[in-house]
Amino acid sequence: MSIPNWKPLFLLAAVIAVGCAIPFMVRAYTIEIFILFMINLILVCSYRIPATTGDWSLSHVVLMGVGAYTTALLSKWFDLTIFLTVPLSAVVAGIVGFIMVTPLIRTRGFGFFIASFALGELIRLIWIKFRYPFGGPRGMIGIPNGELGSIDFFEPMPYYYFVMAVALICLIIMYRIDQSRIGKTFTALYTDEGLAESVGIDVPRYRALAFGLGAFFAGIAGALLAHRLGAVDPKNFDVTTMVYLIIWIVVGGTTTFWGPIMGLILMTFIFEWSRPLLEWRPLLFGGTLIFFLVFLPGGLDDLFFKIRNKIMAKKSGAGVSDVAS
Amino acid sequence: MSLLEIKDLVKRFGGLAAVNGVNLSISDSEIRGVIGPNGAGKTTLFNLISGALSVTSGTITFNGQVVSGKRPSHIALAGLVRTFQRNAMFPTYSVLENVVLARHSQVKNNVFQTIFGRNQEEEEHRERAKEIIHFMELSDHQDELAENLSHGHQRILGIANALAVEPKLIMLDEPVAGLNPTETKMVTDHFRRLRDEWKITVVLVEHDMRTVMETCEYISVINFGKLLMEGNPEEVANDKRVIEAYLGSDDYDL
Repeated sequence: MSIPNWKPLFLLAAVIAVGCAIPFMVRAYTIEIFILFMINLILVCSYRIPATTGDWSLSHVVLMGVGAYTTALLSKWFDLTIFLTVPLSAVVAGIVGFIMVTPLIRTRGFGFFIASFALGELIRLIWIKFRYPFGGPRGMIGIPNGELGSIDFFEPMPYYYFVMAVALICLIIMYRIDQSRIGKTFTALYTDEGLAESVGIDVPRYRALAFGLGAFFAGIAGALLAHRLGAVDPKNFDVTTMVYLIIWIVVGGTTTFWGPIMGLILMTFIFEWSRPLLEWRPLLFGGTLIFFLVFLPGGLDDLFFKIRNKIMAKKSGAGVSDVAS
Repeated sequence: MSLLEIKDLVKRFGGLAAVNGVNLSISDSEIRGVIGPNGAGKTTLFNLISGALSVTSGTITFNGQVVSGKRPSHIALAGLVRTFQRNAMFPTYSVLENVVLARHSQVKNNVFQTIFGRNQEEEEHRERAKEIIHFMELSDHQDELAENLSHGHQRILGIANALAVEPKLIMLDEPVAGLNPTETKMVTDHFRRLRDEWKITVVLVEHDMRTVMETCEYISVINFGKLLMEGNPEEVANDKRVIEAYLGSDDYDL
């Protein structure tokens, strides 16, 4: 345990190197896609945190929206820099998440799913209803893109590197949470709630913590999105967007940290490749969702496990036959 | 002073009083058996003490602290830990990881320290978990996945998980239900050692008379939600009311 493990560090360095090289190899438009991809990466990983405790919510993109609206208000009214709006939005989203989860904690499973949808819609309707300060149904525009000294984040390249840095930090923290005692407690209380309580794990408190942490990181994703688009629109955070998020995570699986990431990568590819068949896209996505629910309920994550187990079984099987011959 | 004190405990389900005015007092370092025929209210009593059910009236005092009305996790933190009839464990974790996870209540680090700090505390918990596993004679299976253990070993792991909380009193819910005689012996051998070597009070709630007679020094018999009698195994075995409760009122021999 005390010997540092170099393999993940090496992998991390490789990912950073590739990430840094990408903007020089692709068109500006593709850089925009990568920026969106990394924002979605934070979002999908943050959704996994409450999902590991068994709480699948339908309000996660609304919490992302809370981050986006906070950023819009802070940067338009108080002229705060992007380096302050992003963390503050995360804190506000986290607090809103904690408030939301307080009544939700009394529900479980399907009840949680539907109740979270209702609460999420409540927040969304507040944005639509109150023209002041939220801009009503048309949302808010004119959010500055942010800058660092003389570097303007309106250009895709600098913003790409900014988002990459933020995404890396977020992912490393979320990975640490997943590997820590807290992450294991989340999965443990989902496996056996009664046993978890009996060994002193306060289940409601930990479920609230998971939801709050998820909201915090969703807030960061929302803030990054608001700065990029320069506008927030309540329609961006409706149930359609939520369905995309659910598709990513169902395709990827939630067993390990890497599942949702794999799901997002695959679905982003499908999304971009299917641009020519625009009106067929919902059908394609629906079909993919059904395919995964029926044939791979554990997602890509599970598929990797199965393949690895098969290979291991074959190896050990070959070993036995070698001895026999 | 008694460690666990139960006063006039009542639990009603609609019109039915499953537990109807039970008084029970268990002192430190005792091995107490709680028995009774099917439907006597043992499991209800058990769930009331562990906090899984809320009491209708009456109080439960543990170690000078009123625990009735608290969450199960808070009762566990007070030092009163239960085990389960089923094989309760975290199946996808190894035996060692199970006990480390169950040591949750002993962790002093807060959320931020856990996420950002270097965890030296974790090493200490690992060491203590190994001690517990060694005590329960599971060391050979330390790195196996809990789901791959045999039935009897899974039950023992359930007790090891409870021990990880560092309890003052451990309450066992039919610990040998569904085990064969060899496995039963393997599990029951540990009960006395818990008390003798680690000074943990053991409360055994059991349907099987034989296990209770062999392991407990003092037995409380419950019938129809009420305390029927208390006494040592011999007194209980020869008590006419107990025989009646178990076998019916006609004159049968035990």
